[in-house]
Amino acid sequence: MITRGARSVLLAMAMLLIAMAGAGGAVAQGVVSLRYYYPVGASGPLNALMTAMVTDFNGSHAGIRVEPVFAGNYVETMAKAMTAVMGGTPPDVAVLDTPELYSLLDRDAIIPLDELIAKNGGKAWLDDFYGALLLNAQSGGHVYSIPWQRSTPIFYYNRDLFRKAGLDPSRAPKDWTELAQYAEKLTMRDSSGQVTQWGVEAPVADTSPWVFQGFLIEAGANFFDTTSGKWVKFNSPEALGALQFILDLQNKYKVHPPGPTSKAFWDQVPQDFIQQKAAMIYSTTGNMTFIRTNAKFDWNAGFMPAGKRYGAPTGGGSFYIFNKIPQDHVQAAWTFITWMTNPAQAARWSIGTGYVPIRKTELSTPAFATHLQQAPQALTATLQLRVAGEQMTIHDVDQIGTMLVTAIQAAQSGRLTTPAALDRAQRDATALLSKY
Amino acid sequence: MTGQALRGLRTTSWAFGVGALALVWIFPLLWAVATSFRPPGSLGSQIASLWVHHPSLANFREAWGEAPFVRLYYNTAVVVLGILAAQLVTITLAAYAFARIEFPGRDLLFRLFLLQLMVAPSSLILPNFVTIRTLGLLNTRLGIMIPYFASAFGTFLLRQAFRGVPRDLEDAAAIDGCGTLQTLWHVFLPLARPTLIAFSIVSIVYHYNEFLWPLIITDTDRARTVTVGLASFTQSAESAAQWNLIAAGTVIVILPLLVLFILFQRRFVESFMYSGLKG
Amino acid sequence: MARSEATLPAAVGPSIRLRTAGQRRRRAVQGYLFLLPSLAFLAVFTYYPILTSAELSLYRATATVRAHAFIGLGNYAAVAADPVFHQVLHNSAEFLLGTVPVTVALSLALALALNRTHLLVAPFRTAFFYPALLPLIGAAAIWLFVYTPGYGLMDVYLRNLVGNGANWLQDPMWALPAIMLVTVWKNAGYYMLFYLAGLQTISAELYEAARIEGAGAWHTFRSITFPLLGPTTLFVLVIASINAFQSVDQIWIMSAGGPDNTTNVLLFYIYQMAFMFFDLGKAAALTVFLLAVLMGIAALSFRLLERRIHYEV
Repeated sequence: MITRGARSVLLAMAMLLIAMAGAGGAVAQGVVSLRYYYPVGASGPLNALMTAMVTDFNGSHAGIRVEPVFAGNYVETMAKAMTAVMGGTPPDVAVLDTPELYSLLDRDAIIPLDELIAKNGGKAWLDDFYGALLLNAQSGGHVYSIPWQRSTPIFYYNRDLFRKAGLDPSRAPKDWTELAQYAEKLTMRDSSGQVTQWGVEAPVADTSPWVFQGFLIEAGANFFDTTSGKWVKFNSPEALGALQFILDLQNKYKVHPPGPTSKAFWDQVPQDFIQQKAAMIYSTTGNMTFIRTNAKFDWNAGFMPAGKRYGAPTGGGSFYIFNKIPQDHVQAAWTFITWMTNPAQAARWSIGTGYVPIRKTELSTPAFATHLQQAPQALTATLQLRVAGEQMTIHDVDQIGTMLVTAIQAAQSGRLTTPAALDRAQRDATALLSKY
Repeated sequence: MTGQALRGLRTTSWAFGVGALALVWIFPLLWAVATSFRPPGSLGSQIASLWVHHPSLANFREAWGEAPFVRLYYNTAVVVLGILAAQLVTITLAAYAFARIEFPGRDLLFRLFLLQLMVAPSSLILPNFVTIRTLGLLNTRLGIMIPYFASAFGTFLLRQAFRGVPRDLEDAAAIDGCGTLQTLWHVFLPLARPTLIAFSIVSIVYHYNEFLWPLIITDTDRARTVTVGLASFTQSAESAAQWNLIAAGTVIVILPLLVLFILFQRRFVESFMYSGLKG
Repeated sequence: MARSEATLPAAVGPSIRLRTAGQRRRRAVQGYLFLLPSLAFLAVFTYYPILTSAELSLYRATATVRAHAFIGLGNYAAVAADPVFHQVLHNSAEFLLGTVPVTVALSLALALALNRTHLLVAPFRTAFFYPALLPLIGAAAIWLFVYTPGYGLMDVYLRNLVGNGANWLQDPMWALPAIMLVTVWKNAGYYMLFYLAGLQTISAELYEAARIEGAGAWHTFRSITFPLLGPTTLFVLVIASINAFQSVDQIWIMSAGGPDNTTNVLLFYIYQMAFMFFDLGKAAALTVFLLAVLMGIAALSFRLLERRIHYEV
């Protein structure tokens, strides 16, 4: 006869056992389960494609199970990753905005990949990736990230509107001077003087100064420490020249919408392009599919018109492996990364999304060759990689990026003069970086 | 003009005046609905118009596949109703204690409660994240819910309502042999119904809309709410806004609630209009 | 079990007094027990985080692990000297004063307008209330389109009225008002429901009496309706103020604090500091500051509400 007390104890033990079994989770013995954070850089089909690719990986790798975690946009994904790191539960692998390198290093959040690369073919393997994309993957002689969803700003132009304005539709303006000239011919006003069509739109400063960095690179400005991310130079004559050119487009030539460019403008620019409210735009190559689907006119894409030289910043996210995770997780994460970035899968991603091909052998995959026939502009960004520059990768990159953005906006709104705005950004940034 | 005609004229002008404002209010939704039916690739010059030439369900199909809405909705319902249920328990007990029980330190404790009146746990995300992690509740619905189980706001409201309950009724219940909990259930809560409904509305609306906290706490759709699901449409960092898709996603999210509200509007509004919101 | 007052024997006296000390003690314990659940959750998820934030605010805790050090009031000094902080304060005040009175007044007006029987009242109520059912993140995305210059809803449909609109979300002068408008749109119909309920409590006889005495609409409103809606108004003001400080999702989506920090408000600045710049020490100091402000407002509204109640009774 079981006493009431004993029955309770047995019940408690049973529940404990069940709870423990449940807590073990559905993962079978010997399967490494990875948490993988990724941002949706472009809305819509991206999420589905990523999930499909991860499912394929899991299906073909019996000992590994990657759990894809959609984490918002780049800012939110970084916030989530850092929160997890600071809370003691880092993810295993994540795609993060590449310039976050130093923020991650400062937190001891990531591990160098040199050993893993060496075992995977070493320099030969790494060299297949485009050099421009690896520029900000390295620090102190170590490689910390592998390129994934990368992009550059490119220059889209409306050939129908070119023809209408008597401009040669076969090429984009080649430099800043031509850009201003073309834009003047392409800016249309109605009878009351309101602009119905802007010559050019460039979202130079939204939440990050990404497109502006293209102008800085083209102006020949050496605006940050590419070795160890410890200083910036925002108020050099070249930088001033770059900002002044933007302001001239707005205020002197009046071919660009006046006033500050901000977060909403980033989304608005490709919309304006397909609405034919803007004849030439700067936007990410990631928008190409969107433009191709929705533009009902003849258009093409080209390099950002040159300043003293052609140039564009690289952008987008790369794979990072996190610190303080078990060794078998590190290995599994590396297997995942190498699979995702093999030419066939990378091509699959690039074709489906419009992100830049990340390695040279990708271009020769049959899928990509077919894709190029239908979408020749897909190659533009890749070609521009040859003249691309490194995206600003420094300590406290988000905060300093914001300082530069507000400086640009202050100059655009007229609140500060160009030199004053850039001086302020330089002052604040230097103060912040002084501790490194 | 006859009295009747004058009233008729006044009603008509009322209808037009309020109707115009209602139209402004509803305009964004009308546009979203129209856009959600617009076939993909047709974001042409008529993007702002409310008229759809060739309505298509393609956006809905795609949006539906983008996020597991049924699951997200279920999670949201569990989270929102779960929080409410827990809050109703905690605030009822606490409000009764503050309203009707004498104990040392009562005023001090009440002031301590009020500290939370305006401070939502989401202002304290990082420490709360660590706590949730320590409790092993990351990526669970319970993890989203638990910081909200106490509510100073609800306690305060209900205390006011309880203080208005006539002592006679309490005494009568006591004489009938009711313990405290029974008195609460049979006397206090029924009389406080309007307050409870008002508080429930506030709680539901607030937690249904929350975005950042669930985003940080949850990893997968296992526990995610509808707001985080919507984010996969609207958070386009590197590409143009796909308005058709965003609109379709938004319509999918709001449709069940809108239908529920329209159907139950009368009962819902009238039920807490009974004795209204006394102090 | 509950009886209506009409059937109570008249001889029942005042509340049963607890005579013995033992009874009083048991009752007090019951009080503590009833408070325990609430206090437990409050302690873990509000008080403890407040304390850890306060502690963290005294440290330099930035993205660099190695820099972690006790700096006393250093973060507070940095915040006080930060020009962005001053802008943030200004914006927050503007946001609070711009949205709360407007939304509350509008919701009252809507309630008054819809406080009648007519076939159209139900659809009208839905039209004003539905924004509350739309998650802010979805609503903000739609409003991004509303505000798009040139072909967005605002410009296209209002062109006849106001000519070519400003670049709403990018003009430093208009960005914050544009976001405030979204907040008003979202909440007016929601507060309207509370006012509708409040209006029901005012007995029709009072209106009859006023009508008989020849009181005009405005006078009736001023001397009957509005005073009797006092508790409702305070309730709505409290919720509206809470919302003003705590809903920053629309800023997160639509403007990210820009352009040039003109839409940066306190809670957004805290999120920015904590989740984008990873300066946790400064974020904690800002959180402590925000808490102080909120508690001040809470104390104030509590006092007002208490006084109101005594007035009522």
